Amino acid sequence: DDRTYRTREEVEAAKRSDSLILFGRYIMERGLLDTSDIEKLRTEIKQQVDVEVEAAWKAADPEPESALRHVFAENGSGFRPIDWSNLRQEDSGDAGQKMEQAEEEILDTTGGEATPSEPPAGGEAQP
Amino acid sequence: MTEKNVVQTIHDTLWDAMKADDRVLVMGEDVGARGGVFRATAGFLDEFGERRVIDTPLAESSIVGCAIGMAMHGLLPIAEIQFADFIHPAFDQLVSEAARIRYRSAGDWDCPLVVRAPWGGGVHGALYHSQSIEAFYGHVPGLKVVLPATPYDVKGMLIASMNDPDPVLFLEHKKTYRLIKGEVPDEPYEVPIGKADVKREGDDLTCVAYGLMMHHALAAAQRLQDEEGVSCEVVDVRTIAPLDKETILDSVRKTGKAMVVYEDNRTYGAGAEISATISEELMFDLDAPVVRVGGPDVPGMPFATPLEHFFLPDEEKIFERMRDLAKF
Repeated sequence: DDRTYRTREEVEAAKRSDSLILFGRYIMERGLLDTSDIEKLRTEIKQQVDVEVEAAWKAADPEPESALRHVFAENGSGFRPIDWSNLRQEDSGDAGQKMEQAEEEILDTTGGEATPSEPPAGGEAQP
Repeated sequence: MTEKNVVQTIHDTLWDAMKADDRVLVMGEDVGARGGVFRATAGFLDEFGERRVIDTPLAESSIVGCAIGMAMHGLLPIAEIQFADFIHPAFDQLVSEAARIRYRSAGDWDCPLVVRAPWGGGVHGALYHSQSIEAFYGHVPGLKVVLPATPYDVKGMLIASMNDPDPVLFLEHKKTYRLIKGEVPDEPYEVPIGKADVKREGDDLTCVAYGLMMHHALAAAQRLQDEEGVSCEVVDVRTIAPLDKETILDSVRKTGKAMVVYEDNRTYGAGAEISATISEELMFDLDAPVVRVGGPDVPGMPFATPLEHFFLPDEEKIFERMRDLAKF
């Protein structure tokens, strides 16, 4: 346990308001779990982690070249793209009109396009 | 087919996606009640309601952070950053979290996040409404960065971005919003992420460009043909990451001369990566050094008109560099 960041006293003080510890106490106060339930959970989870750690230690070292995999999706990714066949003809046409309506209300501010890009005639200095 | 400008294309494509799939939602500053400062989400709040059109607080790290959580848990959030200049508080979320979700979980977790942001100058946006950000994020493996500049490409790549299980930064050059119009198919289609596009064929030199600069390059190439009889091929990068090296290298191999045009500060910009790639792989095919045309290395795009014009590469400057390269 790394003592280089905080003193023992600071750690003890922090534990008094540690949300994980407080939440455990809250659940027990509400009668949802008792101490033996929590012990049982702890043991189960520790066993699970031990099993995974053991399997990881025992597993073969990865092939060095495998560091190049999974930058992007490889074939067989379960990802389901948009099903465009759901799009009905009549749903599509509306969009352009909405934009035209909105255009009429436009106050071209942040777009910056209201600012003329050409100065008044005869005004521009040559670089 | 309908003729639309870029922002209307974005609006309509987002609308279609929201209609097609309940997982899709939009979130960002002013996207709801105001309909977006560029009107990209006008009418959305009335149609789709508060749960799917979310007016967020002014807190970019939270906008992206919450969107990451939503994406990991089965939604398809389209987060908007009101101006790309504001995205920096969300840098940590994008780089340290979104880009790594799949990698750190060995593919167990998806992060199908889309972050949209208007970028670029030429609208008197000055320091905080004109920035280019593609280099910062193009550098990050695990993030896709796209910047289509025509309505056709915008719809196709926005759909591709929404269909992508990985996080995509979808950059929209704000000057193209109303300036650039084009024919857009009414039905959904994809333009693949990671594919550049030859927008104009040519034989004498290759000009690689993106965003507003791509449109200037096209105009300059036409002028080059008309006035000098020189034929310039224009390659629209479209995707910064993952970069389509093949299309770019094929073009330069054919013409033997390359220039890269980008509006971002020249030094350490995305054009530098493209330039280095060309130089590294095509040494014996090149008849001239690879030229970079970029913005000056100053901390922001000025507000004063003559200074903004000085900053931005325009058709005239690009034309002159093309002509010089052709003569090399």
